[in-house]
Amino acid sequence: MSPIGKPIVDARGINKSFNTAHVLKNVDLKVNAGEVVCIVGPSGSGKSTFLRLINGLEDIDGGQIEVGETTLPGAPKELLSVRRNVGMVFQNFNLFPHLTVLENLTLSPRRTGRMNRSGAENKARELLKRVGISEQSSKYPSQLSGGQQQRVAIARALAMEPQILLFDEPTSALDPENVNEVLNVMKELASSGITMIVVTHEMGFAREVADRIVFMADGQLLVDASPSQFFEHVEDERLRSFLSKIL
Amino acid sequence: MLASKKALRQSLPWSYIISTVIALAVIATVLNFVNFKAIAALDFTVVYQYRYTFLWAIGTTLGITSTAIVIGLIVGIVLAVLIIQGPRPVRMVVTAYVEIWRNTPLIVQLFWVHFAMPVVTGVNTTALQSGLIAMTMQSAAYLTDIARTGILAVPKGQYEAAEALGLPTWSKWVDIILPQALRIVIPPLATIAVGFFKASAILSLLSVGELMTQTKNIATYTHKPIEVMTFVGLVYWALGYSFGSLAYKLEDILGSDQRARR
Repeated sequence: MSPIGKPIVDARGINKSFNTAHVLKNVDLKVNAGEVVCIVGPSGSGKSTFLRLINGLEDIDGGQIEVGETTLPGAPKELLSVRRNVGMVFQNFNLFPHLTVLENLTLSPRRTGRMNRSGAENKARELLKRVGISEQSSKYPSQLSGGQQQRVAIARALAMEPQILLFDEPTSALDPENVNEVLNVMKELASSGITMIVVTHEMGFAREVADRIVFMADGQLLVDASPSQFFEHVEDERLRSFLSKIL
Repeated sequence: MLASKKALRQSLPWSYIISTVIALAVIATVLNFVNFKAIAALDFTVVYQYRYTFLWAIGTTLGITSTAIVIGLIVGIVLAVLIIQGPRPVRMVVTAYVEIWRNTPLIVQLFWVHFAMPVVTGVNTTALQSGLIAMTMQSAAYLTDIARTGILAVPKGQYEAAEALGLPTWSKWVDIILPQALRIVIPPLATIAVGFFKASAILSLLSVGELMTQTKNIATYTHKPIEVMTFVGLVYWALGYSFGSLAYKLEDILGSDQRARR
């Protein structure tokens, strides 16, 4: 845990372009340790791209992000240390289809030399129990429902014992009946004190769980407020029109 | 819709009759040309007589083919990774190698290795070594391309998940990308393997001692080329066919863990 007062994620003046499209324009965001921050906004607003910059899945074009003790953009070694400290949950789960659930969880702790086989397996079983799928550990991802797969993906991210968890629209690819089981796991995580940055369209979840909600549109960060302020007191025109469309 | 179905039903007997008549006519014509006396005079005991020679030769052919495929596959995977993410000069060299060895006949390569290489480099190789080198170099060229397409077929999300988990680069390739890529390329890999198995017959030009070399020797020695060649054709077919079926089985077994069973 970083000392109080120093944010665990500190993004300053972030710019990012894909060819001619300027998708992030001078974005600043500070996240303190233990905070849950939800990023919302219309599609194409740059929120997923911003999330992917935090663990170096995309390169930063301008500005820098301090993640824990490390600064991006950085050397490959620094990038690796950021990634081992930041877990990521993808929209499409991205589980390894040729490995069992248990192997999906143990691969990274073992390959990074963090744990031996039995240590990693114990940890994995504990995490699978925590996300409520301890019976499925020897199955392959394709044998699970979407909600179960996403819970495995969350457990896989936790297996590296990260300080920060990133969620990129974790429920957008799920059937409606599977959304809540994933959100419930995320709520439990949020209350456990881990730092979470969540790109989502689930406004109910954001309102209930987030410490802060951030609104992005056209590559800019327009609103950064507590849930109660966000839904009732912010008078940003684009936020109002966004909320009126989805609520 | 209804009308066309009716028309189909009516036309069915006619097409059936016509095709049967044509088939019978073809068979009759072919049989008319067959010299049954000559067939009856064929003497396949020669196969039994030289069974040990044949067995040894089959073993040699299988050995050469599997060596060429296994080494070629390993080299091919490494070269494919280099083509995909190596520095530009390396990519150019690898691409040049692949395009040269893939697009020239094996027989020419065989002569390069066996006759040109000693002149140019002073390194002499036996016929068997030359055959192995030429086959391996060509299979590596083919398999580089196949491995490359397999690797590119693995979804981008798999790379991202591996990177987001902080896996070391070697683990990303060995644990995540290559196992999935290899499953994807099992069918074309099997086709290439059977192709090389048959192409190994060209090595008989250097009298390497594999199946076709011995077949030609036995055919000449016994004056029974029809029997010997026909038998060997059957052997190539049986081995090639079994290998192909095996590959499909393998694909089935390896694919089953990824297929939904719900």
